[in-house]
Amino acid sequence: MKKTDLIIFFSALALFGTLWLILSLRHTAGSEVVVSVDGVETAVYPLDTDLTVEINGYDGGSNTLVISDHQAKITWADCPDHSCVHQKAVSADTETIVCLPHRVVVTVRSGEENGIDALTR
Amino acid sequence: MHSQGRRGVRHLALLAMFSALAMILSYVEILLPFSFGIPGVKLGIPNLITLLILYLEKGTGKNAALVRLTDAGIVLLIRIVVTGLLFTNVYAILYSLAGGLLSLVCMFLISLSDRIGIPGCSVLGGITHNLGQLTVAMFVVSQLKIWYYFPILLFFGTLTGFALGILAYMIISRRGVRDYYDRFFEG
Repeated sequence: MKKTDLIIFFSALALFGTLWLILSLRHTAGSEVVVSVDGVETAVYPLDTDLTVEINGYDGGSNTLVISDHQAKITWADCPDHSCVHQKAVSADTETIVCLPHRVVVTVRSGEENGIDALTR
Repeated sequence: MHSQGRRGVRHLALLAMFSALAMILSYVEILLPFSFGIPGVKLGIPNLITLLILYLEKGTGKNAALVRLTDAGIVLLIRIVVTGLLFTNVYAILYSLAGGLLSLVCMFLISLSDRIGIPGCSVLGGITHNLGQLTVAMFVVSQLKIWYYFPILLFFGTLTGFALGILAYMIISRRGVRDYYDRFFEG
């Protein structure tokens, strides 16, 4: 145990603290949920309407996405590890739920930064 | 010649023992629910073996630096592939391999330095493990967004890395362990 060990330990924690602070300062409420499968955006749902929908993941996998009370959550999946089901519900901008076996990424976005997209859609 | 062969056998037996120990620790890690619902968070107990190989051999000066790297690498590969096939799936093997190999190279380079001790080495090993994992995961889902997990992985990687590093330091500094390791190659 040397002094450098403590320096490394505390600077790693400081780096975490900084990243966390930046993320929470940018913390804004999200307005829509974007679903992407294998890198391709497949669906966008508004956060303010309750909804239960099936996501068809990569390789025939399937996940159930539930939006209720301004929060999105994956409640069921037929993958072996179920880590997406155990992840907490997301509601703020950039918060993400990932299902690695099905290559499904569910991201919340605020929807304000792409105003032009919203117009053309 | 004769003694060289005998030493080779002992070396092989030692690697086999380390591999078995690493596999048991992997299993213990699977049994302990520590992830808090965050994918990729784990204790990293098997990393204890990598630290032991790198630093025990360094401390006793029995083997050249490159031998330490290949020893730790062989044990790591055996552990990840065998426990991966036994308990998880091919993708989990891929993530573990990426994280494990990256952190092994990082920890090996650090172990060459005398200015950084075992806990610091373990912390940086934990962080690079997370970096490797996230990089593979990013390519699997083709999404940059996955780096959203980095801060939280960094936090847990630092804490568990430090704790395990101190544990490894405590094990290695015990006289009995060193004596046993010394005697293993003699006689």
